[in-house]
Amino acid sequence: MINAYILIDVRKGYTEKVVNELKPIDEIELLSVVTGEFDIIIRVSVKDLETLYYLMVNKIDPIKGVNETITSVITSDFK
Amino acid sequence: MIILTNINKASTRSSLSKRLLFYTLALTSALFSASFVVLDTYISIHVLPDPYLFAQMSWITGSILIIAMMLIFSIPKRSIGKRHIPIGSFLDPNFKRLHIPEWDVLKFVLLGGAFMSFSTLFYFKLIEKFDASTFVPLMSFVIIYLIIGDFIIEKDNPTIIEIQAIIAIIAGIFISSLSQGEFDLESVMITLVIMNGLAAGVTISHKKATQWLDPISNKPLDSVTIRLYSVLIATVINTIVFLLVTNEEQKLIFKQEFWNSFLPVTASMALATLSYILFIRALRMGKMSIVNSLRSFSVIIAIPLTMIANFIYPQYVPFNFGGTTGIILKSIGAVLVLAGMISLAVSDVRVLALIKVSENGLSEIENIANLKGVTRVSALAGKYDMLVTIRTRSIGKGYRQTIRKIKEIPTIKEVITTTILKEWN
Repeated sequence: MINAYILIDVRKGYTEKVVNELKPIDEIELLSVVTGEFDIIIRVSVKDLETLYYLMVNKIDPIKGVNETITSVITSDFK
Repeated sequence: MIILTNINKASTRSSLSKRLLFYTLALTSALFSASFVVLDTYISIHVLPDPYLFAQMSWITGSILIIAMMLIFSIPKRSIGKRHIPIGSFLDPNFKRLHIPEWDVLKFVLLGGAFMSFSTLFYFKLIEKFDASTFVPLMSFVIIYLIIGDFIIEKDNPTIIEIQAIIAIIAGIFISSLSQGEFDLESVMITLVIMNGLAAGVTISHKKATQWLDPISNKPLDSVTIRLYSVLIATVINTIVFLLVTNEEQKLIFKQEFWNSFLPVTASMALATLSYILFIRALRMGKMSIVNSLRSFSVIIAIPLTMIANFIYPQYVPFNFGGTTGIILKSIGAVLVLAGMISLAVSDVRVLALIKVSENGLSEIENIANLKGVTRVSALAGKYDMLVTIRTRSIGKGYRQTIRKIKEIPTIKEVITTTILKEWN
């Protein structure tokens, strides 16, 4: 399994819309609306990197209001 | 495209937030706990008055029950590719079929089971002499032991809000028990010192077990497996005590009453098992003192449950309202417990810290994981090197206890902190 964090910068006024479109995506383990440099941080769990690619290009990037994403694959988890 | 089809076929994710899930688990555990205490009162009076027989019967039925549950839960519910998702995953998403856990974690499970066994013996000994309502509320004072335990295990001293909330809950439970109008020094001392000591031992051991992660799958040990091995070791210990302590006449009564008592004791143990599985899941998610505070809500739930049971079967389940004073005291107690629980529920802040490190900076990851309030550290590939999840009662405390200490590490180049406003999982 591949776990990753995706940091999402959202266009002003679109946060709720983006959250509502992200919520039904099954691969998202955790969805947090945050303050600061980014607007939303999600933790995803997928079978492999190819699935992560399809998740990004087919499900997350097309959401209207998503400005920029930074994907960081988790190499190891502590706790 | 095949991959996408599989994604779409996957089940819909629960909309419960993590915090709501935590409180739901702890409070449902309290509900089951209150139900089995009411049922135990009936069994101890009318079915198996001898505490050793009752304890032995409980552990035997408990063992049969948890083995049966483990086998049923292992049946595949659905398959995703080659992976079979067992039925038990609905009770605990980390559920793994029947297996022997590694010794690193099994030792804590068995230790907890041993404490459980002795705790049950004292519980039945007390229930033989005293009405459960006179000493069960005092068992909630175990929270004080657990605050100390949290301080040692999680290196986290309680905040003022936590102390206020826990005091409100303990006071509420104590006032509710005052309405029962009966106090006995012996039962109070046995409960406060021995029962609570053993209960703290159970919680601390099982908390340690829940913190273990499988080195390959990175998943924790599931709550059904923890319950299984705890019950099995408790049954072994209890059987030894039973064989040593009881006389021939008691053993004969045990054989004679086995099938008569089988159904009610199994029902009680089914409730106890469900209560404990949910309790362990909640324990994995939160502090021991908080989980036990929430679970002690069972004392308040037990009041209406006992009233209903008394209304339906007055001859089997006694209930003393304590007149108008008793009802007022119970109401004040319930309000205090609720106030404490609400204040706990609304005072939780989560912070994420994105970290960039210099060369070899990742070697500090374990030190960061051990800082107060840190619930998870993920090593990342990409723009940032680490993401630290921090849970705290206030942003100020999170900064003082965690962020400032992370920034003090020489290999940390940059820390970006973000506060979580709302979270779904």
